[in-house]
Amino acid sequence: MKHYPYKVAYKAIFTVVGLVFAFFGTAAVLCVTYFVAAGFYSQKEWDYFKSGSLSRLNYLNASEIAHTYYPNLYRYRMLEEERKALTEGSGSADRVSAELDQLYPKIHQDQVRLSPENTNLRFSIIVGDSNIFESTYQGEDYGSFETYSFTINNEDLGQQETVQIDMYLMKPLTVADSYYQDSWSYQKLYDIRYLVIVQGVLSWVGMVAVMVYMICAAGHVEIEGRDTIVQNGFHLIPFDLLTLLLVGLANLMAYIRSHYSSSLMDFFHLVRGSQVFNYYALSISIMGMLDFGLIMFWSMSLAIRAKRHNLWEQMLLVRQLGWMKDQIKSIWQHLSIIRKGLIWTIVLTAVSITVGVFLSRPDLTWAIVLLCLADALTALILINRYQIARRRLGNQIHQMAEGNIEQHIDETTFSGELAREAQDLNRISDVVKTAVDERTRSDRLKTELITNVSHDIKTPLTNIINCSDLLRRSGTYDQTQTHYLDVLTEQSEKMKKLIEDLIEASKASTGNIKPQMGQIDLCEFLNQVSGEYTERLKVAGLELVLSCPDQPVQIMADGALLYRVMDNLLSNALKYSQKETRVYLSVSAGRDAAIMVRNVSNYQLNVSGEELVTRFVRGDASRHTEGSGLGLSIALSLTQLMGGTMKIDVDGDLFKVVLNFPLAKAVPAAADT
Amino acid sequence: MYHILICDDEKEIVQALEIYLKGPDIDILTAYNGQEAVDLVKSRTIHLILMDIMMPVKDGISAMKEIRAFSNVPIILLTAKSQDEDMISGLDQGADDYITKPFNPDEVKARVRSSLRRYIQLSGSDSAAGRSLIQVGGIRLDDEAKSVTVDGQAVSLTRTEYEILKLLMSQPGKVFSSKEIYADVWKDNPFGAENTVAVHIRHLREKMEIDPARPRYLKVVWGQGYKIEGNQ
Repeated sequence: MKHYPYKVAYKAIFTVVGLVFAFFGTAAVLCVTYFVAAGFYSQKEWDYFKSGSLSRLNYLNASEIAHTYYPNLYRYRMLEEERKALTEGSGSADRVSAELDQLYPKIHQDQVRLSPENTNLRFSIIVGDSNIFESTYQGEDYGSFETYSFTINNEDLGQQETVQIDMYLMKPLTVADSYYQDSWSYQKLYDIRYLVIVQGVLSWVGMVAVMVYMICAAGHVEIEGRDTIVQNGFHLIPFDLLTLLLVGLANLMAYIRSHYSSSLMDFFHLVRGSQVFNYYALSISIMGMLDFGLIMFWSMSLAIRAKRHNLWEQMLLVRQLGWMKDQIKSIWQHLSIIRKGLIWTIVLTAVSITVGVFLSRPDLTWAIVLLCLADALTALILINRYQIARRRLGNQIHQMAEGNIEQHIDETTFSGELAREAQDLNRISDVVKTAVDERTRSDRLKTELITNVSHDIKTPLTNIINCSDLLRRSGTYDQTQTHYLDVLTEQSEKMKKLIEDLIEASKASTGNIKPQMGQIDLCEFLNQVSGEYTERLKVAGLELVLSCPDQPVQIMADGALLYRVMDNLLSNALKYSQKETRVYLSVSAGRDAAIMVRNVSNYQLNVSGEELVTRFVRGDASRHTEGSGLGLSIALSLTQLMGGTMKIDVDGDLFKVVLNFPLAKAVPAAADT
Repeated sequence: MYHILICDDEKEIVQALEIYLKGPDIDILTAYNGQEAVDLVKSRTIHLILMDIMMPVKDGISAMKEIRAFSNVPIILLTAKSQDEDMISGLDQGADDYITKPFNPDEVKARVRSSLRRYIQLSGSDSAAGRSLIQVGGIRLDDEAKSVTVDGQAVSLTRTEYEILKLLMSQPGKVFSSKEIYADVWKDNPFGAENTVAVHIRHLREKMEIDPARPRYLKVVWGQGYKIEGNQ
């Protein structure tokens, strides 16, 4: 089958065709079953008069005659005699007459119905000992004879009575009564008895053909000109589950069908004629159609999964078994740990099985139960011990993570693999401790180096400065000599500043400074800072412009360190700003707090903002100006130490430094120190 | 005659200091380690000690501690260590002042003079002129005469500067914000970016302190305000 019906429309058509075949196939099967039961195929000539249908009809009619017609007639006759007696005896027969009048219509109706003109049936009512109460049989030739006996409660007699009804059916059926109809419809069915078989076979063949075709075609979809098998949403359901579901559905339908059909049959007994049979057949056929639908769905699903080769793995059972297998494998792998326990468990299980199977005495059930409990308990104990050991290791890891990295755990209290893990943890602890010690030592050495070097450098420097100063004071010199002295002083001052800056920079960057964080009101701070610098700037021909928002802006910082930062920045501004310009000092608050220092540079800045911050880089790349070049680097280190950021923006001659700090939570005015 | 002891393991520095501090009323004694210093203080009357910290035999801090056990003589520590913690700890341990190397000779002279004056002044009688006199450390403010002396030396202040100082001295140790100072002295509401107060404080410091960059009395509490340092 090379060309599959890819389009949904074609698939739908095929499905409908299959369902139609199923419908007729089921109907055919039903009919054939019924025909076989009715004996259509076993007799050469089918005789209505020997059929079960006739018997059924007879029974119904006889029952009615016995239970309704006979009591009414009996009473009627009795009342008639009473009236006759009363009339002859000159009594009042009015009451009796009235009742007779009331009764008459009912009897008359039945009499008419049962009269020979209106029915093919002849009957005799026999009571007592062969006492013919009523009869319509004249002794004619009959097609069938049946007799029924009923025990009824005769009120007029005041006792129970046995009534025998003889039923004679005339042959041939001349009157169009229920017997005639019955016979006629059965005849019709008889006529088509072979046709039905043919229809059945064809339908079944068709059903099977459609089924096979759909199975082959199942799942095939044309994607980009190529034929691929595609699953739909139903294939998320594991196949065994799906099968169970469908079987359940089918059973449900079968149940409905049997229940429905039995009550239908009861209902149909009251309604004569073969419409009965048709309705019955219809309902069964519809069920058959649905069954076919289910089967087709199931087999198509099976086919698609098989084609995609994932039938087995999709099955729930298979997945569960697979999981079980993995678990068992895992247990096996960890056998070493629970070996002891496993032996115990096996022994206990064996003992309990032995006791249970071989002794099998009811009074020892308690022993078996106990053994089973012991079994379970052993398993639990083992698991618990393992858990506890694991948890101890886990706690140790947690302790180490919290910072108690030096703590050791007792390795001897663990067994097997866990002992190795405990050992490893201890080793990690040692490694970390060594690393930490190493680092501490290195830090300490660095600090010592800084302090020692600073002392060692400053001592000779002090001497130089002192001597040059003393020299200057100790005599008079000519211009050249004075000039030399000035150079000495100037240069030694420069060296002093450089060394101080160096030491500060290295302290700041190695983290040797511990900032004492406190609440700083930036507006107040700026006022204080500007107070220090206003005069100095004025002397240098610069104007300091302050700006602050109305709301207070608070940050957490070390006041002294922050001042050093500002000191660096403003002294830069002082040294490098163009004369007769303004230096802007401002504070603003947005997402965080910002301090800005802006000025116009006196020299061309041929260095970028980032580079300026690196050590020993100065705005003038030729290094002619004063200043060590460390100022900005120190300022950056200190800012970062306090949790802030510093950014330098160079825009032509405009120089901008922005410090950002996170805003502090608002706290009422600081307490007095 | 003031007897001043100079103690440093560097002979050149001792010599230099001797030359700077030399004067008609000054007698210089020298020592080259802590032990010598202690011995000298025990045997002679000393009015001031200039002591280096890093010295052999006995370092400056230990020597100072020993001296403090029996004498109140002002001690100024000289050292190359310039970390704040060392400064503070040095002052805590009993030093009166602190000078870092390399030092400015004029600064040394000024500090020595001020320490001497203070020592003499405090050990002398307090001619307090009633309640109008406020004294905090070496600062003496006479509200009647509207005069101020720092370590005996008179300081000439403007009216505003005087008022600010008086406010700060009224509660030594308390931090006054710029706003508070402005409100009290100018009797008006301050603007946001007023640095008037800061400028006046700067002037005050320059007039009062030997080294305005490292004030002894008038301290800046960054981000909060200003204060006069309490008792020494």
